[in-house]
Amino acid sequence: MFKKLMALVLSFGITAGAHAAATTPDQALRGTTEQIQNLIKDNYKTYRADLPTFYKAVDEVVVPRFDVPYIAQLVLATHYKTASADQRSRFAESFKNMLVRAYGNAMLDNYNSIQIEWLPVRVDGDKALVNTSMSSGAGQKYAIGFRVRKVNDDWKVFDIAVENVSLITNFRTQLSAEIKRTSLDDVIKRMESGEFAQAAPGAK
Amino acid sequence: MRLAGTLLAFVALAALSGCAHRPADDPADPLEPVNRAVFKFNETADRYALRPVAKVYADVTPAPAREGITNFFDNLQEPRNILNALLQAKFVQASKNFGRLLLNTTAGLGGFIDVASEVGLDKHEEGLGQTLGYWGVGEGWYLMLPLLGPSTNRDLVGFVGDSFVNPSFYLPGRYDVYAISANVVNLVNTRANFLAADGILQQQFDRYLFVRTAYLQQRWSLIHDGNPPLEDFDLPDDEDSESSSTAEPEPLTTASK
Repeated sequence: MFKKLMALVLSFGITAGAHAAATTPDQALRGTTEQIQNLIKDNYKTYRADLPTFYKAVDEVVVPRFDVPYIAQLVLATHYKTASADQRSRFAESFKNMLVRAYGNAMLDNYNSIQIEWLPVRVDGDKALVNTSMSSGAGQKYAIGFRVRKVNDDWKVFDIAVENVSLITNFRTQLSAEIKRTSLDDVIKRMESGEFAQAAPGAK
Repeated sequence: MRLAGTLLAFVALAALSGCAHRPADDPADPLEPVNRAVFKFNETADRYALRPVAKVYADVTPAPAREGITNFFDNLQEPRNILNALLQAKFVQASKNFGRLLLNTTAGLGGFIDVASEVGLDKHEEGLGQTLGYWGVGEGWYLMLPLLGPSTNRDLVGFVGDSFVNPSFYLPGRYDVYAISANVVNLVNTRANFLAADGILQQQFDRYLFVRTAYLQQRWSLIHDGNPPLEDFDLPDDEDSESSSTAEPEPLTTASK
């Protein structure tokens, strides 16, 4: 009961006070998490039947919590400098869409079995690390860490580490190899066509 | 044989000292072409032999039994954990692992039940590779070993060294049929524990690079007991600091050597 009330307070706190942000990093993340969990709970059937609607909801609720341009910059690393403004924004957009699809499906599949334990936050100036321990029904626990930084007085995620494997480092390595092999434009095009996200488990 | 192993370890170690740690997205991988070939071989072996067996095994073995088997083999690693915690002067950790060994071997029925975790003595892995890393030895080259999977120069040295501490190494009949079947069970059981991760692996567009970065980051994190220094992802150059005309100071990993 108390938990539900908290969720309510928090999610409202987030939507109402997105700019007021005297929040701590983990409060900010919790708010977003609960918000999307509640949305899925209320609209599960609709979302299942109509994935684009679900992705739109993720786009509206979850994506603002992420610092998409910064993520794009970190992932592109050396290639960012030589990229044109158009390439940068197209890359950011398609990368974001890829993540929305990849993580969105996981959220939809696990929204009611997932348990999140929020661990102490490591704050370091205007950056912080929010550690969590997530477990699904099976009982296995995964350490998931969110790197956040302060942007316009709000905490935004710029990296996710699953069992200490960083999303940025992972994509930076693979994409830069791919860009070197082909070209940035080519990689963007392939991302836009959904190539990298769609490789279904065990499809190959 | 043992002597040769030790000798080899020391030679490799000597070659290693002085190498610093490199970020996981830019490791030393001069053997990449060879590593990739070995990786392909491993993947094939996995797809046609290990994975199917592990799947059947996972289907017919109830989860608690699998967990028990995992615990049993983990318990055999406690001497290694204790010794390496001591080598890193982590005395509290060493005594915790010692407590785990005592509790789990006795009350845990030979290691099958992890009672120690219930009383707050959580699993904690320390190996020689970590010990070397702890004292500042860099990982050296990234290696993909046939059937054994990812490693580095440093971790290979650690792997060889650690094998002397495994109790099963000193069993008189360690090449007899029971010992070998025990090893097979361990292998299949371990593989079964990773079945859930297969989907993630298949989604990567370069699985070799994924395994490499994941492995290196995981080892780096283990060396720091799960709290590695926060990565700053240093960007090559910031927007406003007008680019100096040298365009690409960045690694052409193999070519630039």
